[in-house]
Amino acid sequence: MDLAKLRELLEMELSSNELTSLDEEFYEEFDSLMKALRIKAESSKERGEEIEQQLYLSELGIAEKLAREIIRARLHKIVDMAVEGRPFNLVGDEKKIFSIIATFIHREEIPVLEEEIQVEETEEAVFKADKRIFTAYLLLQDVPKILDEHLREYGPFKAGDLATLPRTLGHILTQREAARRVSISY
Amino acid sequence: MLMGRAFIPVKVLKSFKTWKTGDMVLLEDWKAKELWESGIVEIIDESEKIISELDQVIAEERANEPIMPIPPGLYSRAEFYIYYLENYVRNKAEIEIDVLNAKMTKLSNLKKKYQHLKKLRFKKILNAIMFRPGSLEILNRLAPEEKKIYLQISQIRNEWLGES
Repeated sequence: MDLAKLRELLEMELSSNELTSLDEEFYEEFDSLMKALRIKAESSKERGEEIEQQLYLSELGIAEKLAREIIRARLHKIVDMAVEGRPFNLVGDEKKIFSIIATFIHREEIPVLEEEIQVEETEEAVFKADKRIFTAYLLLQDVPKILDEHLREYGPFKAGDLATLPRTLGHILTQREAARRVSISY
Repeated sequence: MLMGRAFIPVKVLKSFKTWKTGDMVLLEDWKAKELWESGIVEIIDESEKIISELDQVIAEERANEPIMPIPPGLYSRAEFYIYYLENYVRNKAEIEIDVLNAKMTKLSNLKKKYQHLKKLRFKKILNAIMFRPGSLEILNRLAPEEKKIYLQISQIRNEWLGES
């Protein structure tokens, strides 16, 4: 990780409406870069190398600005994805942020931050280590055929059915107490 | 913002690391700025070259209806020399009036042409958003800062008018 890499990532992020695929360790690598630059600046100061120290501090400032621009661009996209309920290419803590925003949008209770928060990478399933997790909806009453915002048909369902639904539909049914959201892992 | 998108030619005034006095080196814009401010290097003034590059790009934009590809790093190079000329005239109080006038003229030209090109392209970007939103072909002709504008406004346009 260096300035050139950060610039490249920012340009990729600005060139697409989709979240760019990042290494899972992107944020850790960025933190390491910042730490290394701070240490180098500090060492230069101790050696009395003012110009080197200034160069490292300047590099640190630019790395910070580039990372902020990357984060800003990604957060915009994450908010859009949370509205649509379709997470994709999230890395590290972005999954938690997505989950919190989606929960907030759907007017559900925001989990306590210390709790484990899980994000499904698709509507159907996500692989986490050796575990599969599904979000499904348990129908509490009979529901006729319904359409989502893309005019895809779901149902009809009978009370007691377990169905996988887009988050938007699931949210509407949950709000009307016609379904209950359940997480299934195996 | 100087982020290293442009490379700036400099002349080394004081030995530094592996460079010797008199060496000519290409540096990333932010590093050239820091070392110039520290008195280690002298910036080789290429502002006239940038002005003529801007002239050329403006002429191309005028001659063609669709937005044209922009040379990589042109905005960053223009921004760097605006910074350089502004600071040169500010910090060198003892320079001869002729030199000062020459630098001021270049600064004024550079600023005017840089702004003109940005506005010219911005109008074309808005037009492209109206008639060709989210087009990959258009996207490939834009500077990184312009890509952000094009994609974000295209999205708003599509939400309002529907995808074309």
